[in-house]
Amino acid sequence: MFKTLPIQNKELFLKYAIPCGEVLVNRGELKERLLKKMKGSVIDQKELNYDIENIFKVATRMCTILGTRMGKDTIDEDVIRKYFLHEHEKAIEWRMEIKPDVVPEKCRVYSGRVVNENNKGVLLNTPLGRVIAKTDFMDKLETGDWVSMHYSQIAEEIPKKEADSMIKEFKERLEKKYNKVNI
Amino acid sequence: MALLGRVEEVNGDTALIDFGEIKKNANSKFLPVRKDDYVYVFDGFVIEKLKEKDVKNIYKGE
Repeated sequence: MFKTLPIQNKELFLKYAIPCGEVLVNRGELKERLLKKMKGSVIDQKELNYDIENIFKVATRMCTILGTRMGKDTIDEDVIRKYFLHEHEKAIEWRMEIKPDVVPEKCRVYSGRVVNENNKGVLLNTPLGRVIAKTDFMDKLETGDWVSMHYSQIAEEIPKKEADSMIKEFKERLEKKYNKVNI
Repeated sequence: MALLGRVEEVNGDTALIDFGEIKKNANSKFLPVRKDDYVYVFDGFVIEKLKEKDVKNIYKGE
């Protein structure tokens, strides 16, 4: 049996994991009602007593592997961010190599910079161009703030240094694939 | 996102997984496996072992 590490910051983990919960709902692996309830609990900052290890099996197990390699005994904020902001991308590439049957652009976590806010969400400058992202998990953002985005949902505000590192990795991936690009 | 495959060979913490059209090695350190086990693999790691009835249900559904 796979023994997962306990999740220290469930709120942060769920902010990154919930946006791709729609995929699990579409596959019949997760009830839409439960996904909405979890999302509501995160937004309202309620207690997160959910069976996260079984709902987000892949992410919790990958965080366990990564956390163990990082010498951690819990899935803490470092592990969550390292996985979703950096390692998740490599995992998608691995998957695409073996079975290219998913649209990877949607699964990836991108960094973005706030251009402005409107009634549909927040307009972001991202490596993909300008996109409107949902802000369900955020209170208030200012123009120029750096954020992470998963499935068009802003997960959290991130430091510029983190965003720069994600953009660099994104550029390196494209360069590897298409030889040279200008972003 | 994890991929289903069958363990074809085990060598210490490394297992050769048959994904159908392709075979690849996966790290099984976190979840030891045996030949002919059906497993889910993600990013080169075995992350779940399936029970025989689950495998039958998956293939029945295809």
